[in-house]
Amino acid sequence: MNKPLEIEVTYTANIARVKLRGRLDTPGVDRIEAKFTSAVVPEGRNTVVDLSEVSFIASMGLRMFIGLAKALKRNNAKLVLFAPQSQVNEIFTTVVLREIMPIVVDEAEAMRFAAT
Amino acid sequence: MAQPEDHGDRTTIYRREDTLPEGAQEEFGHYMVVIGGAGLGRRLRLDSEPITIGRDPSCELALSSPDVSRRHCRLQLVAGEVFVTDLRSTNGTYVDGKRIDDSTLLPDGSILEIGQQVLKHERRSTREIKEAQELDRDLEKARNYVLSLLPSPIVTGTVQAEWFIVPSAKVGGDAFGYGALDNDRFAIYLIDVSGHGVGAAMLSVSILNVLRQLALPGTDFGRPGDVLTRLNQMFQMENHNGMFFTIWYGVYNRLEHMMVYSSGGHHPAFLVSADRKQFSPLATRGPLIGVTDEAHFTEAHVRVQPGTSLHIFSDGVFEIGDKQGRQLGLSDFLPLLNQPAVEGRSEPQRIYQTVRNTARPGPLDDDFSYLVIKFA
Repeated sequence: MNKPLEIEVTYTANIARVKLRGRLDTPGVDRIEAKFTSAVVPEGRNTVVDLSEVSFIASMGLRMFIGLAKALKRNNAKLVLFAPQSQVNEIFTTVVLREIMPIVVDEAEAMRFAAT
Repeated sequence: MAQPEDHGDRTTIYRREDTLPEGAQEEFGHYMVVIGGAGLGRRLRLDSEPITIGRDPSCELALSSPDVSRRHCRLQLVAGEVFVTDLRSTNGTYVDGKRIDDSTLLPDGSILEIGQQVLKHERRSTREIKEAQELDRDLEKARNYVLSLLPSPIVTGTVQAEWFIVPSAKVGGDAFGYGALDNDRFAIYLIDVSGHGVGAAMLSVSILNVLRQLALPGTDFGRPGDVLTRLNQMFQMENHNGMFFTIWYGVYNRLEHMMVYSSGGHHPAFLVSADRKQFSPLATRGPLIGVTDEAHFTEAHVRVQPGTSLHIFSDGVFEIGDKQGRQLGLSDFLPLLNQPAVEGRSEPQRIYQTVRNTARPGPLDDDFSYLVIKFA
């Protein structure tokens, strides 16, 4: 059995750093979406998401990121994803997700995107 | 007192009437529900007598699968709890993914795996069971409706079509279609709505009906880029409960032996040569449908040689977890396109069987939809 998806949120200045671990499939998204949304959307924080330990993303995971990016944009904030594993990155490429939100290779670059 | 302004919105709250008299106790029972393998949805009640599961016809639950031993395991209710005992089966008995070697508690909600067969333990009241059965019947009707919208296979002529679809839930968000636009042009498409279940199925039915009835005003259905652009305008996710979808859409010209195609957030379709030695990916760089209203969808063209076949499928075909716990992707799947046909099975059935044999036991993670178009 796979371990349930975990979320860890920390704050630096006006940027929320979100670390996800596990599979972003439907049960995983059901488990963390409310916590993720409430941690970043109400205050309109710029948000960077560490995907280095996310092994899989299903359509519900994409839907969560797209929904969050749109909600943050309404509050003049950004969602930036970084360090996706190759299989997850392949899915981002197929669905052309980079037209919706920045996806970068590492945390430093994500922080720069979020701060500008 | 001033009445609140009527904006036309209504929320109606239905109160479920309790049919039990005050003070009466509901009767609870333990049930094993088949959630994967043969007999999907079948519900077996556990009473005081043990239930043996195995391949032997004398077992209370007889399974014909070759990976099930003749007498594989036994379920028994002891002091209100369900225990499972492996009867020294060849391939083992698994509870929540762990192989057991002794009598083991099967808690409410746990998963029992026996070969390809997957059962879930549920402790339910008789009223809950009745409600679940009514819901199952409604879902079955919804599933039949979705299936009724899919086109019949085409077994003769210059363009032939065969397909296979297995939703991961009772109903799914995949759909596809094909048909002649005029004497020369033949349209083919497959859509995959985000998520599963009734919500996704309702959106897929809406899209399917638009495409089946060519109901996009001012759109040339022979131009895939135009079709996707119009669908994107019509199905923005903000107006459809946050759902979006992927699509692959192509139009084959029988006279010119050319195909024009476009994709929105969908992985490639594949054109497979007659000898199966080569295949070419067909995709354009288009975003998910419904996510952004400024999307632009380009088209590409390919020459279609006689004898080739077009394989279009949903991501549920290749995004599977295998028996070793690995997550597989498109590159793991592609070698199946080179493998020979299997007598007595359609090409989509051959692919399904191979995927099923590779995947871990239980239902596939996502809807499986596979469409093959053969060009004579």
